Amino acid sequence: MPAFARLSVRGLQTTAPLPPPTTPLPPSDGQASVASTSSSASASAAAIAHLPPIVPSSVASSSSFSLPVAPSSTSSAIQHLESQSTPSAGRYVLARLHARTYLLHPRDILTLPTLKPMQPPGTTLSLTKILEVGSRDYAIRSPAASPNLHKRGLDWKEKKLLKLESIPSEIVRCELTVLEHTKDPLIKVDKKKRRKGYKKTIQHKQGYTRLRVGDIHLAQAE
Amino acid sequence: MPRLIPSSSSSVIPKTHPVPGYQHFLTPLRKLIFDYDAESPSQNGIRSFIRKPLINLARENPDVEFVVRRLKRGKAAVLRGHYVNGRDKVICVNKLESDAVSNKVQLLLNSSGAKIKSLKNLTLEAAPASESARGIWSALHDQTRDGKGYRI
Repeated sequence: MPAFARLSVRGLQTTAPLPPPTTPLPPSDGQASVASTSSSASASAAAIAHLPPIVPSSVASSSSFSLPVAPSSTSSAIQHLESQSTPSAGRYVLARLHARTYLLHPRDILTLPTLKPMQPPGTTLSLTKILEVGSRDYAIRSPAASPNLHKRGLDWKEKKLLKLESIPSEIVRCELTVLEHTKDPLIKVDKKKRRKGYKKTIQHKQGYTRLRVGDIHLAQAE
Repeated sequence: MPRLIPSSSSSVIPKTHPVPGYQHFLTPLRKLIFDYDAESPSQNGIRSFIRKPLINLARENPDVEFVVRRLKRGKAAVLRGHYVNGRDKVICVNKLESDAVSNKVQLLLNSSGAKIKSLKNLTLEAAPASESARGIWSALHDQTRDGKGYRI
């Protein structure tokens, strides 16, 4: 049923640009006839059959898509990560720093309120609480990396007692280089009350430390 | 005016070590000039700073060129920092005590020379031409169940 197929194509147009509707649809194979009788999901799959494949060809070739098996040991997990990434590319860490979680990639520049004691520019600081390290498809993750833990539901006491277990530093290391200690432009806030003779200007410059994320090193897999 | 350029003397070890790749760090402050007047009473602070703490400071920062210049009468005491990015920062230190001058010198040493801009909403700046390790999430690619296609 070409009319239905065209309709579903219209529905998809918001996410994937398609050729103008005047172009004829490709000849439908056996799958399409099945699709016309079955669910609408497979019908739309048939309609977009002429588009480039969504999943990479290596995955698409195997008809039954199976999830990779979780590695049994840390060293094999590291091997999986290293098969996809290098210390300076394709790798990320999820790190805890001053009660906040940051997703960091190598060469990123992280800006924080001034870190004290102020270290001179060029100093390297290493991250001690890394919750997760990963590449495109694999990750070594501590239970503390679960987003449910950081939802707002916790009150201050629970948050204080919360122990965030990080990945040991033997497995993953990441260093930050202090680039500079700088300040925001001057902010002026005018305070005024009517008929009270009260008028003042509050001036403020917030200090910031800029840090560059270095390479993400994994332990040597045996 | 004769002066000692740090790199010319072999006894000092520069703080900047060459490291291959982006992890190389170059001290942003290239040159720090102290302009002062020998007699002005409002410039006692910078004069006492030049006399004592400056010597240790110059020793601790061997890759910054420190220049002290005595100006004509009636000129303001000024710190001028020249940075590797070609910009400079100039701070007047008239009527400042020695430790206040020291704070201003630290400010110049800690700065990268970049123009001051608001960093409030710039918590994480991605590296130029970098892409996320996990790619970009897309509804079309969000495969939920085996063989059941995509859920949008």
